[in-house]
Amino acid sequence: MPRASRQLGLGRRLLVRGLGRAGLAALVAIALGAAVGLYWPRKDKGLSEERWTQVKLDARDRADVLVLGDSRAGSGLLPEVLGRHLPGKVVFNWSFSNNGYTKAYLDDVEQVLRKGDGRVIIASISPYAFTPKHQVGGYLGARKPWFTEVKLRHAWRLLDFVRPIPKWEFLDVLRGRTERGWHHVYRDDGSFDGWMVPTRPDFAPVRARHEYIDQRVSPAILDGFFEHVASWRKQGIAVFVVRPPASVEMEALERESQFDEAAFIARLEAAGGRWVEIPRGPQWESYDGSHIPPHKARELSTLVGRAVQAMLRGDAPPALPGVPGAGARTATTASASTTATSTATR
Amino acid sequence: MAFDSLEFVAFIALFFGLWPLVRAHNTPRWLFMAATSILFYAWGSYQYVWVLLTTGYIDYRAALAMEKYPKHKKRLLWVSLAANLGMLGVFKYLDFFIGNLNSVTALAGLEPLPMLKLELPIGISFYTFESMSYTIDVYRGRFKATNNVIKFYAFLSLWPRLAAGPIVRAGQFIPQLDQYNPVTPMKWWNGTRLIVYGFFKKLVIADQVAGAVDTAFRAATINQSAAYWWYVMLLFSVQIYGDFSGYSDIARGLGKWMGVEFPINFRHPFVSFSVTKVWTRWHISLVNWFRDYLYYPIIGRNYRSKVRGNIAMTTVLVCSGFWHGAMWNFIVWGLWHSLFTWIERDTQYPERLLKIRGGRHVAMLITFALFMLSNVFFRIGPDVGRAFLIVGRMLTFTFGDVVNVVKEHQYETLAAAFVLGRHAWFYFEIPKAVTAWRRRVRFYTEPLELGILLAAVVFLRGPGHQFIYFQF
Repeated sequence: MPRASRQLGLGRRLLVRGLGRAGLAALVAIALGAAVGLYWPRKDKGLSEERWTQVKLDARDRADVLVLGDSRAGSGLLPEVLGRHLPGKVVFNWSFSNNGYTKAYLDDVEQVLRKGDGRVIIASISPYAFTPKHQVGGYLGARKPWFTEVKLRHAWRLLDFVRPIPKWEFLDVLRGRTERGWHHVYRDDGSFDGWMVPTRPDFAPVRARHEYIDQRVSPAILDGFFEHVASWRKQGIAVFVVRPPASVEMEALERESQFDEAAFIARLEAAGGRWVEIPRGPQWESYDGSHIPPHKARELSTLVGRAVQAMLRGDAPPALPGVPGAGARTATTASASTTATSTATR
Repeated sequence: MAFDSLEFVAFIALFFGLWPLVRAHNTPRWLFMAATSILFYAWGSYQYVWVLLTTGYIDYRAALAMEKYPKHKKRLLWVSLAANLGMLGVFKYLDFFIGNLNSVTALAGLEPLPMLKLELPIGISFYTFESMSYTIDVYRGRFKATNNVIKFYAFLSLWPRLAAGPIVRAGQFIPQLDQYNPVTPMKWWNGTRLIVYGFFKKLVIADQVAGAVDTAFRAATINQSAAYWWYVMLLFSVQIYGDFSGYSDIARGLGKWMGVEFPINFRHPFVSFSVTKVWTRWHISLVNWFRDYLYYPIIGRNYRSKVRGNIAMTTVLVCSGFWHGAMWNFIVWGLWHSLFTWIERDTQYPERLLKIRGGRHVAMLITFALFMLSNVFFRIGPDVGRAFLIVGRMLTFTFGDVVNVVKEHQYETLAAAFVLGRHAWFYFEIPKAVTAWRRRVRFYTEPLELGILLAAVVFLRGPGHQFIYFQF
């Protein structure tokens, strides 16, 4: 047998026996896995969504100022910006996607707030949060089996490293187009940045037409919310409620849920809470019809932060940009304002 | 316990870590197999462990009694069948019959009967069939009953194929338990390949195309494009193949690691040249079960009778459909297959096509098209009327917007191309030189291929979907 062939045969035998085919396969998998894990340009930065949700579920005695609500609160009310207007206070965003104001969620708020004085709740609302459909997902649906939660608490770095690449992202990256599609940055203060390239302002309204079109605001759910507001007020917790903006089309759909904003504000004030008025209209540029991009979120958070700061001091809130008058709407001004807003959004 | 979870990884690490300590001797090995299998089952469905244990014990005792009291073996067989079919009937089919009865009695103005709304125990359709095959084979004298209950439960409950098959026959499997078959390096390697291929087919292929299929079927209105529906049904065919054959491959691979062989369940079904042939390549273990325990008994000695053969075939296919689920769409699915099997038998068109040039390809494409059409009924759920509308739309064969449809689902197209490519590799005759080359370099190419597939399983896995056949 020629010498070259003998050497090749020997080399192969050594390779196979020494490493074994399985070892070789494992080496290839580990090398590829390490390369992808370290170098693949991920679109989602920060925490993984699962870890981000678990951080919130595990939060106890976390903050002096708590932001409540659904994903509009998550993307629109940034603790970093709110905190600048509430010096000395730790702000945490305790919102959950598709969240409704369920009893379980409202009951658990107090264990996330720190004990002591100067506590504040900023509750973000949207009409769907008070409909029956949103009483099953959100905070209630975020709980996972105990073993999954153990993994998310203790093995999340490994899970993040091997986070799957979404199929659309896989092809986009291969073609060098990383800017397209959904983008998220999940932060450990509970908020997230979200945006889309290109934007799809029709996304949420189309979905809402299918999923929420028959949903109506439930009086019982509203009652539960106001009972909690009154209870928090009795404990000296300041309660502010804000309705983040969405696209004009989305807000028009939400009106079909029969949410009466004026009546809501009246009951809120009767329970001791304060309403934070936000100018509405197309200037909020929702990227998917429901959520606002990061630069608009900073704007919204600044408005809310200033208003809350002023009201905590006992001052009148600053005037809203582009809208003459106070930044807080009371029950008596609500009716007139709602009419003016409705006219503007049409 | 889902195969694609960290808990499963921990489970198999624990199982195979302790396996060397118990495998050498029969009783410890059977006990370990049975105990871990019950634990595996209880992890996802603890409240129904008693169903598995009870029906199993009834069959174990009935088989022993058949050998002790041969005069009563027919009665004992009926006891076994009643227990298994009764359990299956109560959990799976009772509400179907009550619902249909209520629809009829409502016409007479009668009060509806209440539905039980029982949750379906995982794997019940599989292990009841395995258990029945045991008692039937003992009754027929083809197999001697085992008098070791632990060995019996090791057969019945063995965890890799407990939830979704392959359906294992006692006569083929129990003898494998009689002694430990050492796992050679080659067997271990082949098992590893099967496991990785199985996970790839399930997680990277099936789970990734599922979204597009779900969107199509969940839409409030039916998309009017024929191209869209042909594409969706291609994706669904790929999804269900990837999901089910993936599970079967994982089960077979794990079996090889234990030194046992489970039957092959899929053999490139998409390149069959007739609907009849599809059923020799798709879910083979179920089809063989129905063939041996339903088809042949119906045929009896009249195996030459065409009419009897067609009746037997229809019964088997309708029962096969009904086995999948207690809904009318599955019965229609079975009837669809039965109809085209009748046509094939009467006209012999596939065989005629095979004789002409290029006819093999035509036969294969016709069969695949019929298979995709049948899957509309399989996937649709209770709304059978909607299935007919979709099939009607597909039969307009308008493909004007096919490019747009494919453009919108590029990853899914790649996934489908991978599966079809594997089938094409099998379908077309590979030049001998290529085969010889592959054999020479496989020491390097197989590990490379496996490493890439493993990395793909980790990073390209789709959003978790339960194995489709877990629901049966």
